[in-house]
Amino acid sequence: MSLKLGLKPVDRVLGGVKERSLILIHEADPRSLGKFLALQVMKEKLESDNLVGYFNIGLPLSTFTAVAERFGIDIERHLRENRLMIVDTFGSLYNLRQGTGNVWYLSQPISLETLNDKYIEVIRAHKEKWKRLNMFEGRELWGVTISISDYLYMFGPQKTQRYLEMIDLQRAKSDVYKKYPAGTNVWVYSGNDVVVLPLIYRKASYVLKTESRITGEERVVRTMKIMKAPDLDGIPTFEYIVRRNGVEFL
Amino acid sequence: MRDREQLLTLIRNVLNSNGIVSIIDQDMASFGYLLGLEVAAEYIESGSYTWLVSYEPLQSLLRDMERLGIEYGEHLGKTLFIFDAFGSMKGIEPEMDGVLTLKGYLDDNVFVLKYGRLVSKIIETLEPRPESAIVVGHLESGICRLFQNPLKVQRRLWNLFLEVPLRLSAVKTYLLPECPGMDDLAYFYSDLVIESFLENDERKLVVTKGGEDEP
Repeated sequence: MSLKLGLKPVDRVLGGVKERSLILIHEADPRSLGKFLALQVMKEKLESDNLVGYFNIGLPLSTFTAVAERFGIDIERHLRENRLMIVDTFGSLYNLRQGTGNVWYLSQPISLETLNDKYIEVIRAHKEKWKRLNMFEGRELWGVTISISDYLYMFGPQKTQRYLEMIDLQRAKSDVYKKYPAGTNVWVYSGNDVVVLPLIYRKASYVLKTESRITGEERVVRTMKIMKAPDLDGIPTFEYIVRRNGVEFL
Repeated sequence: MRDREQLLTLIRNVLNSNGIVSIIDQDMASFGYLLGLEVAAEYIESGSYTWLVSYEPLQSLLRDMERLGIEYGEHLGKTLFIFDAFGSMKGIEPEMDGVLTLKGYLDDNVFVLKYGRLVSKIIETLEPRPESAIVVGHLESGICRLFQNPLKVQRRLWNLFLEVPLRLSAVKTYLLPECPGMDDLAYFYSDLVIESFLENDERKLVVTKGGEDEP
């Protein structure tokens, strides 16, 4: 089944994305503001009353929340109305915990060896809650992660690589993805490296790469390229502008 | 293309609405960070509460301020506070009123904890309690020279910034080659980003986020 991603050119050219697939947004340089494409997906999905799990990796949650709110996502309301849940890895690791409902923290001690089990633990607990509240009915389920590349500064590249190699197997064994609906996932990866990024390029069903350049007229041009998608020939490229309250494709 | 005065106006507008401005130097000869000090001068000299954080040796900051003709002396310790992050990590005692350092054992985590306590303590001592202040992060890329895990420290310091019970605006400057990766958070969080670089022996200052095209 295809779902609208909420990024117009992708939905127009590909007719949406496959349910339960992994979409990588590769923000090749931070100036391209690729993270805002992920925020755009999140915004579209929450505003149309779907369920979103936001996985906060290496940002202070308050920083993420402030940016998302400025971008027009009413984080507080979506949390309160139970369509948004957040797993705060940064807050768990550095002990910066908020008492907000539907924000989950991982139990200490946290290492990449135990991280996936801890994620599964909180995902199970929250999916049970969604099921109890009958929230799955008629709603899409999305996971948004900003940013997978933050694991590199938190745990180092080699450990991150090993972690990503192992999670597929661990998740395949876990009943949480069979007992409850599984989501369609958007991962942001910022920067370029040859240790971890190639693995995700292979793993993802869709790769959207964002880049930017400064023109001779001193204007910034931001582009999104569809680098990978099932049955796609060529690399369609689209220019976009990040406005205060949304991404606009030209 | 904007001239320097237009850029300064744009920066002032963002700061006056409690925004965050980042100035990123792409190379060491572009000296875009001086624009940050130039803006800070207006706040310092008008007696607005200013928290200036130096990740550079203090003398280097003071030299830059003097070259720009910034008259900071009479405000230091009253409305201007310089937090010497470099001196703290290197164990250098401050010799001027209004210059603050952390004392004792410091590592990445302890620095963030002690720094948070110092900020709270300073705010408590101010009479009358200010409603707002400007934070100037002078060459934050110096974090790479001072800490084991610079990106972790940068992000934890931003978290502290959001916890301060005042209306804050900030201007932060970076020399990117000195600390690659710092622009990740700067681009995500800042309302306005200006990049500075050399092109055909010309100094360029270009608004790369938050200009008129992207209101």
